[in-house]
Amino acid sequence: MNLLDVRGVSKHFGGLYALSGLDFAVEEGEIVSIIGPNGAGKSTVFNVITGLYAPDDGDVVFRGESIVGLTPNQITRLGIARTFQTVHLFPNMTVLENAMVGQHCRSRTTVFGSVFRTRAMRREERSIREHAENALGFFGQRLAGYRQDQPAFSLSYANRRRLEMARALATEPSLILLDEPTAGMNPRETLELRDHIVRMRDDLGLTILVIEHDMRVVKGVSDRVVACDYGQKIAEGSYEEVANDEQVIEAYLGTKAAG
Amino acid sequence: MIRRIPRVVRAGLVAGIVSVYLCLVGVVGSLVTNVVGKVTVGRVLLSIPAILAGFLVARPRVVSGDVHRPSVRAGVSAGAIVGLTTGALLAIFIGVVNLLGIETVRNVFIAVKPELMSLLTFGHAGVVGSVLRIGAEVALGAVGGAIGATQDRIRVPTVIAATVVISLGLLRRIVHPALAQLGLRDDWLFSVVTLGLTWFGAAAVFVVTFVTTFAWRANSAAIVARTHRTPATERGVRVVVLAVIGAGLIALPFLIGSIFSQILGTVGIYILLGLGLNIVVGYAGLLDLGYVAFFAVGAYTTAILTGGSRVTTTGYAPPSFVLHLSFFVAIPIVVAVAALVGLVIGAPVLRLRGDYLAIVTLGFGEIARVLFSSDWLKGAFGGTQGITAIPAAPIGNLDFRDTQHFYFLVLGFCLVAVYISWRLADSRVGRAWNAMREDEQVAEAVGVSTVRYKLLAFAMGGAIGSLGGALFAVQVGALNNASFMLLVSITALAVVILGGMGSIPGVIVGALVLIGIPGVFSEFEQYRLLLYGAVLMAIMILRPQGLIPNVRRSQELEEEDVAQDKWAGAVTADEQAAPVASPLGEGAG
Repeated sequence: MNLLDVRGVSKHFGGLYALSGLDFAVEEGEIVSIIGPNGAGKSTVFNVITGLYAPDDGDVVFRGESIVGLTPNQITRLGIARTFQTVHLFPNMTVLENAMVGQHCRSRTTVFGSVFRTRAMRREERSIREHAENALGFFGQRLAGYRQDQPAFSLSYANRRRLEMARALATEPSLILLDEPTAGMNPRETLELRDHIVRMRDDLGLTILVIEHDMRVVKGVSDRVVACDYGQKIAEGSYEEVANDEQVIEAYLGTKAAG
Repeated sequence: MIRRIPRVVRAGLVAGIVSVYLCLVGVVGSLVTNVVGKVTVGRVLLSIPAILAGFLVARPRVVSGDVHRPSVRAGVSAGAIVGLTTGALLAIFIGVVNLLGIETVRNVFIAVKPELMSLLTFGHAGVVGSVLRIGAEVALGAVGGAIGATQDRIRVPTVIAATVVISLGLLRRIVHPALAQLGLRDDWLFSVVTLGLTWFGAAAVFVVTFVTTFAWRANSAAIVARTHRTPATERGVRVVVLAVIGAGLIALPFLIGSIFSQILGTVGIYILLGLGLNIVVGYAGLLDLGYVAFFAVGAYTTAILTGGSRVTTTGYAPPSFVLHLSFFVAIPIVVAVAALVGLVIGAPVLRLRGDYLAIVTLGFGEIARVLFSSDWLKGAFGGTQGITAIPAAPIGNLDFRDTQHFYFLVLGFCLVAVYISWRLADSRVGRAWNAMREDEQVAEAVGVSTVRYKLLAFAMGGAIGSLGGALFAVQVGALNNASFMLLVSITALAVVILGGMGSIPGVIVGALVLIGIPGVFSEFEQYRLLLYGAVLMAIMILRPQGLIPNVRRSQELEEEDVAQDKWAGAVTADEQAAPVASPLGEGAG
C-alpha cells in the first residue's frame, strides 16, 4: 500500500498555477526525490501535504485516509514531519529545547501537571528529554555535548540545518519531508548529509520525500525520482530514466531553437 | 556636519540640552526635598547630565581592537571641556531668560520661577551668576571625567557608594521610621533641620560603602570559592540567604509603616498584573494592550461575589446579582471567570499577529471599561458611580484591610503567582508558548496546536491578572471606571518590558521601579509619565533585553567557555582513543 498518495492536486495563487493536477505516490520505506526547475511547485506541494496550504482541487491521502483539511499540527501528529527550504528554528531557545518542542505532539502534560509537578509529568518530561537527545544524537557529535544548552542562533549554518532535521525526527514521524536539505552546504557537508538521509531510512525506518537540487545527492539517495515543471509531473522513474528524459532536459536547459 | 564637531563638545551639548530641558519641565526647581545638607533632589538631577557626559567621554574606548584608556589627567580635562560646553548652554539659557524677563518666559514655561533662576546662578545676578554656573558645570564635568578615567577597582566602588548615598538621602521617609522602630538613633545620619542626610552622615555612608565594595570586589572570588566548596556549604549559604530574604519580607511592613505598606501593596498588585501579562507577552509573544480588561473583571467579579453595594441617587442598593461569599471562597470563581473572559477575548483574535493584535486588544480593553461603567449594565455594575462598600477579606480576626496586613495578603498571592509562572516556564506548556513566540507557523508545523496554546495563554494570563484586580477591590473597597483606564495596561506592559520579557525577577524589579519609585517619592508623582518615557527609552537603547533578562540563559552563556573547553578536550581524547572513519569515506566516490 502506498504510504502517501498525492492525487490530482491543484493550487493556484491568483492567476498563477503553482500546482495543476499533480499526481504521485510514495511507498513505505522509499526515498523519493522531487526535482524540477525553480518555480516548478516543489515547495508548494510540501506545504499542501503538511496542511499549510489547502489544495484547490485533488486529495492527499496518508495511510489510506485523506488528510486534506487537517491543521498542520494534526498532520504532524499523524506522522508527517518536515524541514523548511530556508532554516526555521526557534532561535532563542536552546538546541535541546528546540528538539524537545518536537516531542510536543507525543506528550500530553497540561497546566495542572506542570504546576504541581505530578509524577506522570516528571516521567513524561524525562522521556521527552531522552527522545530529544536521541534525535540530536542522530547527527553524532555535531549537536551533542555543550551545544545542547546553547541557543539555536549560535549554531553554524550546517548545524542549524541538522538541528531542524533533528527537531523533525523528534516528532517520531513515519514520513519525513526534506526541503532542499543540502542548500548552502559545502561539498563535504553535503556528502555527510547524503549518508544521513540514507541512514534515516535504513536505521530509523523512515520513508523520505526530498526536494533536492544537487544531482549527486539525488543520484545517491533516490529509489525513485519525480520531475516536475509548471506544477505537473513530467517524468518519473529511476534516476537514470529521469535524467535522460527529453522533457526533463528541456525543462532544465530549454528547447533547442528550431532550424 | 555633526560628525565634525569634536566628541567632547557634542557630549557637552547633549548634556546642556538635557539640563535646560530639566529646568524647563520643572524637575530642577520643584523637587525640593533635601538629599544631603541643603542639596535638593532638583540640584542633584541638574548635576547629573554634566557628570554623566564627562564620565562617558573619559571611558576607555576600543579603537580597532585596542583599548585606549585615557590618563586621569586627560579624563579630567576632557570632562572639563564637556562641562564648559554644558555650562555655556545653561549660561545662554540664563541670559535669554534675563533678556526676555522671567514673567514673559513663565507665560509659556511655568516652571521657570525666580527660585529656579537663583538656584542656577547661586543667587548672583547678571554675568557673575552665569560665570558661577559655568564654573560649577566645569567642575562637575571634570569630576565625571576623573571617575570615568580611573581604573575599575576604584571607579566601581565610587559609583556604587555615590548611588547608595543619594538613594539613602532620597529614602529618608522610609529609612528614618524604620531605624526608629528598631530603636536606633539616626540624628548623626539625618539632619532634623533639612530632613536630608547630614554631611557627616553622607561621608560616613560613602566611606563605609566604598570600603565594603572595594574589599568585596578584591576578595569575592575567594569568598565564593569558600562558600561553594562543597554542595553542603553551598546549600547552607542558600538556606541562609533565603531565610534572610524571608525574614526581611515578613518584617518589612512593620519597619516601614503603614503608608509605605500601602505602596508595597500596590506594587504587589502590579507584580500580579505583570506576571499575568508576562505569560501572554513574554512567554507566548502575543502583544496585548488591553490587559486592563482582566484587572477590571477580577475587581468587579470580586465586588459582586463578596457583596458590594451600588451607589444610587437614593443611597445604596445591592447589585442585581450579588452573593455574600467570603473573599477566599470567591477567588477561585473570580479566576475561573477571568480565564473564561480570556477565552472569549482570545477566540476572535486567533488569526491576528503583532501590531494588528495589539490594536484589537487595545479596543477590547476600552470596551471592558465602557461596559462596566455603562448605563445598560448599571443594575449589575453601578454605572459610572461604580460599586462601593466591598467587604474585606476576613480570616478569623484578620480582615486585611489594614495596609500592613494587606501587604501579607498580596505577598501570599504574589508567591503563588510566581510559583505558577516559574513552573509553567520550564515545562511542555512553556516550551510550546516559547516556540509560538519564536515562530508561530513553524511551531504549528512541528506539532504545537497554536489555536489551543494561544487561548491557553490568554486564559492563564487573564487568571493571574484577575488576582491583581481582586486584591485591588479589597484594597480600595470601591470601584469605578476611573481605575480601569488604558494607563493600567500600558503600565503593566512597561513593567514587563523594563524587567525583561519572560523574566519573573524582571517583573518584580519592574514593578518596584515603575510603581514603587513614584509612590515613595511623592514629589515625582507629577513626573510619573516623564519617568516612564525616559526609563523605557533608556531601556530600549541601552538594554533591550530588559533589566534582568532570562537568567538561566545568560548564566549558560558565561559557563559556555568552560563547557566548550571541557567538551573539546573530551572529544579530542575520544578521537585519539578510537579514530572514527572520515565522514567522507567511500561515499565520496
